[in-house]
Amino acid sequence: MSGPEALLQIEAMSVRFGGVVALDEVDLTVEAGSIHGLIGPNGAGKTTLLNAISRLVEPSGGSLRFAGNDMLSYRPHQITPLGVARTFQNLGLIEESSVLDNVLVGLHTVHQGTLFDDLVRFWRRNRLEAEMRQRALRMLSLVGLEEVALTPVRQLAYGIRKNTELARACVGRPKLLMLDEPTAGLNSTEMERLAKLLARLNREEGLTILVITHHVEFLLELAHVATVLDLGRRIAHGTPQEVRNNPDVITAYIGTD
Amino acid sequence: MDTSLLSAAIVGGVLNGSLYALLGLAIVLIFRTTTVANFAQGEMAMFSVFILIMFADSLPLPLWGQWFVTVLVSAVAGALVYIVLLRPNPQAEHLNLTVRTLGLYTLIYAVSVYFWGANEPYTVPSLFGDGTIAIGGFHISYDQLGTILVTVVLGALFLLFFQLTQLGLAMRAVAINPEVAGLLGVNVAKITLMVWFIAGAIGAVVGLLVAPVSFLDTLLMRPYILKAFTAAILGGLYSFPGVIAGGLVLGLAESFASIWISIHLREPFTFAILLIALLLRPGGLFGRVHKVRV
Amino acid sequence: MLSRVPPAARGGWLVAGVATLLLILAGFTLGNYERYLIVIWLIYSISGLGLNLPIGFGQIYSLGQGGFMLVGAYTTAIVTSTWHLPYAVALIASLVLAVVVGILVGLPAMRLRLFSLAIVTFAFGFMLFHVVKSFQFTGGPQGLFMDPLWLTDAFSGRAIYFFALLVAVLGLLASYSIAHSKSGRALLVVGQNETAARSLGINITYYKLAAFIFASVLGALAGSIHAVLTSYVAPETYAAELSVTMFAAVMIGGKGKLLGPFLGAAFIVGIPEVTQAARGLAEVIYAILFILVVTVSPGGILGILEGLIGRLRRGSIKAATAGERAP
Repeated sequence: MSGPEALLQIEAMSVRFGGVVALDEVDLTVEAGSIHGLIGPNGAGKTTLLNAISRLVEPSGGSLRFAGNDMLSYRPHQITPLGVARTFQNLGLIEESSVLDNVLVGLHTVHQGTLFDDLVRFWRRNRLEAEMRQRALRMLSLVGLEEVALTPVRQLAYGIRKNTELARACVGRPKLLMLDEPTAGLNSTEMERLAKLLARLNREEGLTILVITHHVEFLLELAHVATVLDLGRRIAHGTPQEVRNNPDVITAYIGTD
Repeated sequence: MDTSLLSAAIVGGVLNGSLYALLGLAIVLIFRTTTVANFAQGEMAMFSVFILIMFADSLPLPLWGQWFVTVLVSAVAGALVYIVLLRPNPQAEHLNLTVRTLGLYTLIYAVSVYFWGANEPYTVPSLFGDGTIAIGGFHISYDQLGTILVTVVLGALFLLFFQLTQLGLAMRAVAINPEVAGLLGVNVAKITLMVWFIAGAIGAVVGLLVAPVSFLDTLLMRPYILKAFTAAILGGLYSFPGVIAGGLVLGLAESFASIWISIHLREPFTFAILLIALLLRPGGLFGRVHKVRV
Repeated sequence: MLSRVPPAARGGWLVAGVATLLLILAGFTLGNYERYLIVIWLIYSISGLGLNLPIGFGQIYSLGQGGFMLVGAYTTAIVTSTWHLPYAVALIASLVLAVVVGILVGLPAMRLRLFSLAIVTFAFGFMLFHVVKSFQFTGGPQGLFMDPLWLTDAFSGRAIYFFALLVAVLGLLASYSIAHSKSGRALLVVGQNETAARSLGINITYYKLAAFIFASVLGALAGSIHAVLTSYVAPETYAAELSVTMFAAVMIGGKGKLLGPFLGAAFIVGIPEVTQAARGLAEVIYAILFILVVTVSPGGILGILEGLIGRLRRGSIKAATAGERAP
C-alpha cells in the first residue's frame, strides 16, 4: 500500500432513495488494522453505508476509495477480489448445503477453477477443490465449526449459522471485513466468544473490521474507533469512550428511542 | 391503407385485447394476493363453457339466466380450487403452489377430453345475436360490440370495486403484505377464497364471450391464456390498469402484425413484442421494478 | 480427513451405478417395446437433468425446455434428411444451435425473475412451435419424415438404446460435476440470495446464463435422440405442453436433486403406461397423481424417499447412541 492513505476513505457520500436522503455527506475513514464500530439509532443509515461500500446501492455524490482504488468505478461482484468481504443481517446462506460448502462459497474469487474445469478438466477441478477444502477447513477450525462441517446449515442453531457466515466472509482473507449486526440474536456468552474471535482475527491476521452493532459493551470491549450516524449524518467519531460521552450521541439515542 | 381493413384491424385488436385484459385481470388478482401464477385460469374458463352447454342450457331460463348460473357455478368452482388445491401444505414455497396449478391445468384438460372428446367442436349460442352495425367507416358485429361492452363494464366494475369497497380494500391489504393484513384483523383465508371466487367468475365470462365466435373445444382457451399472461407481464404484474393497457397493446399489435406481416407469424410476433418490451423494461411497460430489501 | 465424496452422495452413486449396469443388461435382453419405453424415459431424463440445473439450483424457472428439444429434433431431421449429411454433423449442429438460441433467449430472460421468466420462456417454446408450423423447410403442420439412419436400426434397434443411455450417464456426470464444484455452489447462492451472491464476488448473469445454456444443450440432445428414435418430427410433438411436462418432471422427481429428473421422467412415462388399461381415464389418473405428489410432498418423489430413508437411519443412530448420551 502506498503512502499514508487509510484503507477505506469515504468523503461526503450521499445516498438518496427517491426523495428520502438515506446518507447525507457522510465522511468515514477506516485505518488499516483497526476495528471500527459503526453505531446509531434505527434508520440512521448504517446498513445503507455498508451497502454503498459493497456497491449494492449507488451513491448520488461523494467519493469512495479502498486500498488505492476508486471503488465507484467497480461493479458489485468486482469488489470481493479487491479484498472486501461482508455479512448480512438476514444471513445469505445456502440452507440446504453443508457448513463446509457454504464456507467454500467464500473462496469463489480465490478459487482459480472455471466452468470448463468443473465440466471437463476434472483432474484440475479435483486438485483445486481439495486445496480450497483445506483452506475452508482451517477457517472452520479457527471459528470452532469443524464438528458441524458436513451438517446442512438448515439444521443448525442461529448462533452457529451466524458463525458460518462469518467464516464464509473471512475465508478469502479479505483486507476489510464488514459485519452488519453480528451480535443480534446472540446471548452474552456467544457475544463474548465473538468479540474474542474478532479481536484474534484482527491481531493475528491483520484483518481490518468495520462493524455495525447495537451493543455498547461489545463496542467498548472490541473497537478502537467508533463512528456514530443519526438520520443519515455523521454526528460523532472518536474512541468508543469519547463517543459514549458525547452529548450529541446521547441526545440522538434518547431523542429517538 | 384501405380504411375498411384498418377499421377491421382496430376492432379485432381491441376485441382480442379486451379479452386478454379481462383474463389477465384474474391472473394478476390471484398473483398479487397469493403469489401464485394460476396456469389453470384458461382451462377453468374452458370448463365453464362446458358447464353452460352441458348443464345450464337445460335449465328453463333465458340464455342470460343460463349465463348467470354458469358464472356463479364457475365462481364457486374457483373457490373450491383454492380450498382443495392450495390450502393443504400452505408452508410450501410459492413455486410449489404454482406447479399445483399446472397439475390442475392437466387435470381439467384430461377430464374435459374424457367427457367431451378432443378436437370435437361444439357450437355455443351467442348472447348478442347475428348482424352487424356500421358506425362511421367501422363495421362491427353484434358479437364484437357485445364482447367489448361486457369487458369494458366488467373491467370498470372491477377497478371501482377495488378502489371503493371495504372488501376491495382488504384485498389490496392482503396483496401488499398478507402477514401485516392478518395482524390488522383482515381474515386472509376468507379474502383469498373471495379472490379465487372472483377469478373463477371472470374466467367464466371470458370463456362465454370467446366460445360463440370460435366454436367450443377442449383447446378453446389455449391461445388466450398465454396472451393473458403476456398482458399481465407487460403491465408489470402488479397493476390492474397495467394489465388492461398491456392487453390492449398486445391485441392491437398482433392485429396489425397479421395485416402487415403475415397471419402465420402473428404468434411469433407476439413473443417478439414481449421479449423486446422486457429487454427494454424488465419491470414491464407500466410497472416499476420491485426491489428487494437487503 | 474428509473423504472426497460427501456421504449423502455415496448412496446416490450406488443407485446410479447399479441402475446403469441393469440398464446395460436390459439392453441385450428386453424386447422392442420395452426398449422403446426405456429410451423415451431416458430422453425425458436427459432433458430433465438439464432443466434441473436452472430450476433446482439457480431458481431460474424455465418453462421453455420443449422449445430446446424442438431445436434439437428439427435440426437433426433437416441435417440428416433434407441435406443428407451424417448424424454426427446433425448432433454437432443441434448443440451449436442450442447454445446460440440459449444465449439469444437467455440474455434478455436472465434479467427477469421467477414468474416473468417462466412466461417469457414459455412464450419462447410457443413461438418456436408456430415457426416450424408455418415454414416450408420445416415441413409445415405435417412435419418431416426422416431418412432411415444407421443409428435407428443398427444392432436390431439397440444402437439408439445404448446411445441414449450413454448420453444420460454423461449428463448425470456433468450435472454431478457442476453440482459439487465452484459453479454449482455459486449457482445455489445466486438462487437463494442475489445480493449475497454479488457481495461474494459472483457474476450473477454469467452463472445464470451458463445454467440456462446447460439446460438448452441437454434439451437439444434429448430432442435429437427423440427424432432419431421416431424417425419423424412434427410440431405437435414439441408443443408448449412438452415444456410444461418437462417442468413437471423436474418438480415431481424432486428439484435440485441429481436423481430427481430420472424419477420424474419415470413418473411421466410410466404412469400413463400403467394406467393404460383405464382407457381415456389414464390421463385423468395421471393428472390426479401429479397433483397429489406436488401437494403432499413439495420435495417431489425423491423428497418422499429421502424422508423415509432419513427416518430409518435416524432410528438406527438413535438406537446405537442411546447408551452413550443421556438426553
